Amino acid sequence: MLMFIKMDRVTTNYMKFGILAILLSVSFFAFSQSVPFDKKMFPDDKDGFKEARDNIKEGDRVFEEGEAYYSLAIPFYEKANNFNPNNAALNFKLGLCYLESPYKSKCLEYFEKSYELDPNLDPLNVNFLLGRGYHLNEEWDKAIEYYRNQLNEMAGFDVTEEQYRNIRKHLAEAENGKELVENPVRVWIDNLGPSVNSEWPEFAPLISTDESIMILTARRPNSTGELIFELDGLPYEDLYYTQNIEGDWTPLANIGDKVNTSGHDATSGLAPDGKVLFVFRGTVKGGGDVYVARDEEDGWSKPKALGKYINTNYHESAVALSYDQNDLYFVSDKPEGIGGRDIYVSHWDNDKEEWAEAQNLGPVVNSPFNEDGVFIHPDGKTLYFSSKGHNSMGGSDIFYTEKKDGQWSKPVNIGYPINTPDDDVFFVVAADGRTAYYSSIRDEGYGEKDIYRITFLGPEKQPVLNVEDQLFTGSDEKILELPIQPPVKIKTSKMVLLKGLVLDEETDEPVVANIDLIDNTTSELLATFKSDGEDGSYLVSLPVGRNYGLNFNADEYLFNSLNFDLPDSADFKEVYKIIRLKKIKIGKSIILRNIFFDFDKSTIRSESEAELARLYELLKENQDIKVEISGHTDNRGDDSYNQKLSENRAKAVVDYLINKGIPESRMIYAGYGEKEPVATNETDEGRQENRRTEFKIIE
Amino acid sequence: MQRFLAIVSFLLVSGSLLSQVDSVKQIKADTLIRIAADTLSSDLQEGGLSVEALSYYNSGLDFFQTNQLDSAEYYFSMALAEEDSFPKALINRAAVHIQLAEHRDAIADLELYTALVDTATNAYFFKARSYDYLGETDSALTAYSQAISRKAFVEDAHLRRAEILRKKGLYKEAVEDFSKALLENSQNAKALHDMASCRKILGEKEMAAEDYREAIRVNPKLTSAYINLGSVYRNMDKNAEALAEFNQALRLEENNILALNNRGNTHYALGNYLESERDFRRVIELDPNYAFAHNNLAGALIKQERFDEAIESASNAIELDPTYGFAFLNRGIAREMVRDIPGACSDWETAEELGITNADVYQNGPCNY
Repeated sequence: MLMFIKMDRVTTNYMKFGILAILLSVSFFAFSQSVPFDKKMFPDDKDGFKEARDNIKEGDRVFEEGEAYYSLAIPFYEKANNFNPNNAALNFKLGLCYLESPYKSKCLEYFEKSYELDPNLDPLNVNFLLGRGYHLNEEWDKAIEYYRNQLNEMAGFDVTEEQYRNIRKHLAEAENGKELVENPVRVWIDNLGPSVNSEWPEFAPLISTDESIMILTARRPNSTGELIFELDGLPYEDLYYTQNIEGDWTPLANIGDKVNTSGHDATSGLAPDGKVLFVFRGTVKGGGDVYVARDEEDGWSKPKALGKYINTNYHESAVALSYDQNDLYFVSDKPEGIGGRDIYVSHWDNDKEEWAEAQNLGPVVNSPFNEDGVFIHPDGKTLYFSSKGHNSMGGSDIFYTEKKDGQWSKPVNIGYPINTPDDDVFFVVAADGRTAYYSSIRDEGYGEKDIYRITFLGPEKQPVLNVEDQLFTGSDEKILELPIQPPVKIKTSKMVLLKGLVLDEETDEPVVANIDLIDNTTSELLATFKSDGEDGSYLVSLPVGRNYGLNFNADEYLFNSLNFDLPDSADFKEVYKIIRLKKIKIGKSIILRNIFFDFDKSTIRSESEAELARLYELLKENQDIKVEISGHTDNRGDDSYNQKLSENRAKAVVDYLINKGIPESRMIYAGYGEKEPVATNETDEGRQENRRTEFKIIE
Repeated sequence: MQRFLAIVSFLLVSGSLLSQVDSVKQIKADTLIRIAADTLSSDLQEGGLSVEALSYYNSGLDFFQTNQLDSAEYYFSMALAEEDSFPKALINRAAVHIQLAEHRDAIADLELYTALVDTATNAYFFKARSYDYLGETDSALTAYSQAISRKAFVEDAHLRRAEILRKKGLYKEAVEDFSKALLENSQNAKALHDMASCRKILGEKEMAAEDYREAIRVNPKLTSAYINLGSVYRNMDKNAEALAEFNQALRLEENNILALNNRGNTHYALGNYLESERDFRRVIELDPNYAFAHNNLAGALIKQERFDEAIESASNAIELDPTYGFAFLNRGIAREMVRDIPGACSDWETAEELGITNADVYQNGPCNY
């Protein structure tokens, strides 16, 4: 089963009747400017005529298999058309074939030619098909005109409400397209180049949040199993990956036969840190299911099917995992939805260690038409998806919706030229919100679908011009007129991307550490990640609006903590931090970055709870160590005051631990005031670093 | 005969006075008679003067008449040594001082003169002018006020006072003086023009426009009035009207850089980027060192998506003025569009350091790494 969404087919009854008539008419038509395929018309090229006739026969044979095979008929019809380009019926069929191919917009030249040669060839459908052609070529006014003509023509025939609805839908899409094109979004759309793209289809890209890796679906020769899909004559789908090395993507490599099978294997979703991969596989019953694989020390694990609340007897395809890995968004066409494929969400049940029953995202997001290609941004609140509904300009368009106060906002079309009259699906956005990736068929491509990078440029930046005035007659003095610069707001992604390495402090070797992400305000453990076994790398997304504590911990090591207090107004930032874990040894110390005190006091704030609990656990697990808890300040204020404050704060921590049951004899406290800075006191950041509580093993 | 010669001398002195003091050129010819009248009134005192004093005085007049100013000063001083309360000698010596640009001395003589002669009028005006010339604006303002109260050269005094006030940034007060000068003579196009400019600075756009229009009515060849009126229209977003005024200014002076630059800006505001480009290029032709024109050209090129050329133009502006913040801002915009993100970020950072609004905002997004 193909992952790529097929365009809705407009095979109305009357259209089929029209097509049948055309099939019969190729050879016999002689009442217009159309040149029939009759040997009498080509007395000087009998061989050429014979070849053309054979090509038509072969093309017809494929054509009669049905719309799914139309694109396979193209090469035959093209050859025949090269011989005789003036046959109305052949041009018409080529138009129909292209309409079912990846190169839909080419249908217009053939429909136009066919109409020019014989306007009466298919009066029932000609307006609609020309409308489609203009629509796909972004000639909006003509598309609208012809769709309206079609609706008017249909009035005299026995057509169903569904058929009317279908034409009206296309008309609405053309009107949407016209409006969207008048207000294009400022973007660069760049092909990723030959290391990623080829003459074969590449599509459905997935990226890690930091854009360091991309996994995508491609249909290339030498796919796993090397089978050819009979419907379109292309190799089966496989997953491939590429890495971003200093801005250049490495050549695409097959992800391997642990993940790929001889059947269709397609990308479905990727965790923000790039360590959890979701794979789509078609099922014998005709649906499709999603599997999950993890990036382990020896590579990707064998994909396992997701649970019963995700995979059903129906078609489940795209999947997106939230930044904290607690929510799974996925697409399903199970019948209880709103229409066609819908987006659902399932929450992780920690107790049962499985995905819980899924909820439909509701009618604000899900339309009566197909939704697909879901992606949840690591900011935790922006959902991207494709839909054939809402105000699509044709086929599937990409939309986004934002979660506010628990509700999804009305989806917004991401705009032209990202969206086109054809299908636009599988859109993924990098952490910075400025870069995105998707697949598309464009003129500048290498063939079939290619992967493109989109760079959002934001609102137009206005140049500033200067004017001078010579205001007074008796003076040469010129006065500069100060230009008014209206305020500009450039939207950035609302998150911090934290990445780096976890290494052994002494050996510099990578350490596999647990990374606990905590909301300090509620002391809630939001998520646990793991650093990579091979190189110690880690990646954590931190949406704004919380005070985060991060705790890096591994057996036999002292934990390392970080604090990120991110107000709602914080802009996107990427932070790179190498965490050097220290073995539990005498003399080793750590800074407790998530212990907070009331201003100018030694009262411990409630946000410190998680860090204190971690400290308590460390002491409990290592009964034979004795520690010093020390307080430190920056250099502002009186020396002796700072010393006293820092001592009182250290004591407060010790008192807390004693109350929890750690023997007093195992701990001492000390206040060092401003005597032992770890950073400069000249800057705010440095002073903040110096204001700290430390933990040191002294015995 | 002597009296006749005295009158003639005074007339000549006054003439010299008029020709030497710079903007005394403004003073009309009939003021000569007023000066002479001042002096003649002091003739009544002649009866009390010594022969030596008169003799010195006459010699002084002779030398003054022949433009032998140092000698004239000597003899007037000798006359005053004989008779220290000798108004005619004082005022003539003041005239010599003014001619010799010895304004401090002229002021001293005029002070003495006005102390002696209750009915003195014009002397206050000339005293004010000398203060003005010395840059002692506060004293000049006082002296002009005195001249006005004595009805000496009222229009000019108001104009001069307005000039001082506007230079001090006291535009509201300057407008008052301009208004009063115009009450004396409503056909003074320059006064109308300068008053309009003060109103423009005060943000009184409608009134400024009205005054500029009036100045033009009085003097249809006052180019700066068209330019400044156009500028006011542009500030009022009346770009079509602005364009008309700049076109008119350029009909009068086709190479007027300010008019061209302003028209270029107006074309830009109207979206006529090709026309704006043409104007800015013309300015550059006329004055290659006019940094603003290079920057403005960059803006016009950016709007036409000719980013490489825009970068070059902005760079020219920066070369001419390395502290030109807007040029850095604009070059950054052009650089971003040719995908030179490091260059764009560097330019915006510099623009931010130079205090340009929005430069920090522009760095959001592309420069966040």
